[in-house]
Amino acid sequence: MTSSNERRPLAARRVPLARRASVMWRVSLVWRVSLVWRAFRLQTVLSRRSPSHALILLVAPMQTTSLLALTLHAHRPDAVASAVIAPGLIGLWVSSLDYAGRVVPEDQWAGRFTPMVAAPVPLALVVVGRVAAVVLVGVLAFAESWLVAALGFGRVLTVRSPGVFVLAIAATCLASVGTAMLLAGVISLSRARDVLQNSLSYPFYMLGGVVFPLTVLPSWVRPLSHLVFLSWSARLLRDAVHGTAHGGPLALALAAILALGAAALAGGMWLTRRLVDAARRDGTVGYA
Amino acid sequence: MIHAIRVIGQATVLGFAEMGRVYTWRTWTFGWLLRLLCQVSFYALLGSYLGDPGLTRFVLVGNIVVLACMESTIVVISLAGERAQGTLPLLAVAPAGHLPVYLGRGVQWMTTGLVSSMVAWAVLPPLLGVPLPWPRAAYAIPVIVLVLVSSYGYGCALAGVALRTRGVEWLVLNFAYGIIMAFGGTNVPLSVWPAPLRAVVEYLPLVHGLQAVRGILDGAPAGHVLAQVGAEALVGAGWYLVAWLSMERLVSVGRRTGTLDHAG
Repeated sequence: MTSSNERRPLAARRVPLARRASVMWRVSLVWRVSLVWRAFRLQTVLSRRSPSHALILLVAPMQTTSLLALTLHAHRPDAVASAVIAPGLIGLWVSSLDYAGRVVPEDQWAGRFTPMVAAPVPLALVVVGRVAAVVLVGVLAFAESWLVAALGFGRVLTVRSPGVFVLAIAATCLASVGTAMLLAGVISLSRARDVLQNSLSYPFYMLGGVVFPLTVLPSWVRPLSHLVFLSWSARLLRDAVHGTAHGGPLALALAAILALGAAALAGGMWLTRRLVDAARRDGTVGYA
Repeated sequence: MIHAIRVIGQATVLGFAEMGRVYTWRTWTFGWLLRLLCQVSFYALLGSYLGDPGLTRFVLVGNIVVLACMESTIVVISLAGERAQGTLPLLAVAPAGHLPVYLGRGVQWMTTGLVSSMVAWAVLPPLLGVPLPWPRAAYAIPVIVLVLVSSYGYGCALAGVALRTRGVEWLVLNFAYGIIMAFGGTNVPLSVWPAPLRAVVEYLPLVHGLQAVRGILDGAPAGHVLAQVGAEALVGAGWYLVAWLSMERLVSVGRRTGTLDHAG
């Protein structure tokens, strides 16, 4: 017994090109997601052994205390939301800058970089998965900050538009992963690695208006703020808490956060590829 | 004594050499110093957004003085490095003893702390529209130096924790100055906090020094200022004592159990 395919001419047996492309794309997508997930799990195991990766969880309650005490001392209950949201945003930034930026250099020190480069998978996807795990730790800072406000100061922050708030957090996390990827690339390629990690915190908290509106900054600085995803996230999260995020401005803010995150991700992946290519070309893959 | 001072001097040279591996004068100025100035401005701008110029000045002064404390406590990282790099046993067997090296290991951070807090003291108040009353503001500078010195003792004492547990030095450092920034009267007066918390905070460095600085700027009676300066000096001396006892115990236990060369 023979199949009908064997009796038909070869050309007729071919699966249509579009269908084949679709199947291959789906297989490729599943494979890529699986790769990112495995990298995510690897980072979770590594972070569990490194207490310093929990640093932001120690810092966030103290930061909330400082900001909230100042806000309440100034009798400005309208600014309580900013004081509670800011440590969460700072947590995401610290995770991106401090830990994600160290992913590749730490691999080089620990001797993991060589097998990773030799493996038949794109290193950029591995770094994306690992950076995502690290950034997720930063998200917990939001919960900590809310708890400190509620238990320490008796201020229970109520979110008037919870749907928008969740969307804003999700978009902010995605943008953080993209930004972390870019920072990981820049920091790995830079000779002033420690300087960058130590310096890129407060300038961005100011530019991002994480705790005060951008109108507080000098007018010549404000255009730069629009290039920092934190500025869009901070405003959107505050609006979600107050229930004032609607329509066009909401869509614009979400689009801006995602676009800035995507641009940073693309830049980070390009830098990671460049890093690997340069290391292969120069024979420095095994160097710490 | 002269011998010990020479060893501290050598440890300081080593510290600056170590620092030179990370920073050039350009990256220090346009990276680290700029970051510190932004940190102070961040809180001062929040103060100006929330309240009047009085609140802005309160927050600004607090955060400038806290720079001195923050940089001094970085000694935690330098000291923890001795154990991670395996040099602690060498210090313990050195004829000069380990304490002079131990105490000189982070002097470079006191120096940079002095420079950064002085730059912030001179530049930021006029820039943010809350100028300090000169020449009275100059009298506060020796008190800021005292804060640097007392915070350094506090950092050395807490380094004892980082030397005993591997991988926690950054947690210890951030906790060390984090609680001072949160509760030490930097952004809000101490009276905001409950009495039991205030009683604990009294034993932290910076707290009395900062009150002395605020007293000088506000033209408080000399007796009040001197009492706060004396309290700051006493607190600092207490932390040096804790640091000395902690290091002595670490080395003696390490010698007895043969664990001094363990990386924590």
